[in-house]
Amino acid sequence: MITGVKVAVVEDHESMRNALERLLDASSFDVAGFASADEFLRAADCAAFDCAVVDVHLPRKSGLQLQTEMRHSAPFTSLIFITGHADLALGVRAMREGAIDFLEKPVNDQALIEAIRRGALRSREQRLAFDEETRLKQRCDSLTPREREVFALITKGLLNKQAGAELGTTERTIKAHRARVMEKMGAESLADLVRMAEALGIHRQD
Amino acid sequence: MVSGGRLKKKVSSISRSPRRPVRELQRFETVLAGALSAIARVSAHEIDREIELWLGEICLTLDLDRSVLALLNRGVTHRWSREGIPTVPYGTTGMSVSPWTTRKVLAGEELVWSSISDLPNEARDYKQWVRKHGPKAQVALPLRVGNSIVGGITFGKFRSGRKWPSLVIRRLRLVAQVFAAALERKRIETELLSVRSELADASRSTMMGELAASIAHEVNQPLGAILSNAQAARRLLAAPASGVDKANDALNDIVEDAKRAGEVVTRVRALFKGDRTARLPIDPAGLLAEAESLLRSEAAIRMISLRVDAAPSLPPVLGDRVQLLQCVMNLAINAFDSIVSADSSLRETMLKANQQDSKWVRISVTDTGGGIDPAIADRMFDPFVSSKSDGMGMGLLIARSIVTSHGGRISAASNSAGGATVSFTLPVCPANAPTAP
Repeated sequence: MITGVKVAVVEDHESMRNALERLLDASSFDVAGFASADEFLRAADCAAFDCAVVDVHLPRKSGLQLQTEMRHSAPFTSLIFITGHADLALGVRAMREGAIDFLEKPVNDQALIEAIRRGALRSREQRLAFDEETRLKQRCDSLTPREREVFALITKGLLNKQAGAELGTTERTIKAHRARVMEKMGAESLADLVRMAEALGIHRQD
Repeated sequence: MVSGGRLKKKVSSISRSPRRPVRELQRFETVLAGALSAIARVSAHEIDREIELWLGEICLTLDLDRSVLALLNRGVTHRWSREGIPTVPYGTTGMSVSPWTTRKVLAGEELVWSSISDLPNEARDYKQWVRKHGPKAQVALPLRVGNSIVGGITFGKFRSGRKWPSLVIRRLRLVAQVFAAALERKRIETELLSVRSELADASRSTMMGELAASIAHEVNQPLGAILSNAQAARRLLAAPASGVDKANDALNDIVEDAKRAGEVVTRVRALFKGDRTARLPIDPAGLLAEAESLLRSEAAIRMISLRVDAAPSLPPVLGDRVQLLQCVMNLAINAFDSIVSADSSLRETMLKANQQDSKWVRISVTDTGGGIDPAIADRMFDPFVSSKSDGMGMGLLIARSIVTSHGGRISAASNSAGGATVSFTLPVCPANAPTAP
């Protein structure tokens, strides 16, 4: 099970917010409460939350507006909405925009905790995928222009000899470039390298 | 064919000569002036009564024996006949009495004849009927509203034939016009009234819906917090080492939120009780008279006779006039509904006030409707309980809430003779109570 899950509670009713904070704290989450959407967005670490439990009917900026803005300011934070009025249309819209769940007040603790776990898991996965992509991009940037050409050709399936012909150089030179590409990218096999090329979209540029 | 035109020529020579018709015409003009101004002045529910009254006056003035007004689709709706002259039952269609006259009138023709010999050959069957039972002279005029004919009106003399001076015909035409307009006014007002009562129903149910939603929301908020705090406390107490203090905080918050929810309920209750209203001395007889005036047209439309019976010199009661009116009216409307849905032959509602003892005045509403359904007898004052298919079940609830907030009691029972009586008590105003402004 994942640990150290950071959860934000965005709820304008103080007693409700306190109660939710207390409940989530008792359920071993790392909780912080916010009284409005802006208060949450202004928090320096808002992007670091795994999950935000948000009242749909917040004054001034609604939960759905917050959802839109979070796409930029906290893209990996999963959203769980809670609402006082069961509103199917709102719920459908929120879910379509990627919310984890839409829960009616009074909120069942099991359902909420379950949703937060699912949200945190998705958040972590997205973060990992993003980190991996960032790392690959950095490595790719360290390649020389010629190395990048070799990277593209051999991951397309060309043999050293064919790549050499393509680039107007010898098979030996290609072999040396290829070894450096493997090393710089941290790839252990050609298959590994092909997967990286795919993740980076190398061939999409062609 | 008997047409107004031909007969008018015939009669114009007569109308100049004898003196009697001149005096008759003068009297007729006076009666007409009265009729026209009265019909224009009365409210919609009095129009029917007024029309019948003036049919009689017109007949008496012109020495006629019978007048009948019939509407399309409804048959005879208004009539007058001299004693000894056969009357026509309400609802009789013109076709069943005199198809020939009816056809002509509905086609827009005016029929004026002074003796049977005036009737044309095409009216052979009609002539036979007239010889046997009918009038010896008659005027039949169409009733028009705008361009359409809505019915007809006849004036007949049975004891002898008579001449019809053209001025009389012109005036009777005016009468037909005014009556048709008045009946149309009544139809429109009745329609409006039903639209208005539908609107009132709709707005009442909208109001209830909104009220329910806002109560639900206000109670749900603290309820949600209570639930989450209680669930938190349960989790915290499962790990006593760290959790007891926090669980204690949760319990304190639960207490606060429970109080908050209680306050919402108290506020709602106060809203229904109307705690903030003024209590002033009210004359029970005056209260019933006021309720009667508000209910009169509704009763007339439903063909229910509404009567008030207040014991003489009742002491004033202490209460809120508007609320008590609403209470009486709710009970009376229920009574009307019961009479209408039971389709009782006796259609009567009685508003009664009498003194129960030195401290209480009793007000009761008695109807001749279907009585109280035993299936709902013990729950009939509860919310959303109704014997009516379209009932909200709020009328009696509101009535009870008003009576209880006045310190009185309300009860209901079926009458031995049929129908039901709902009665409530109100406290007699103490001697030192504030006086009404």
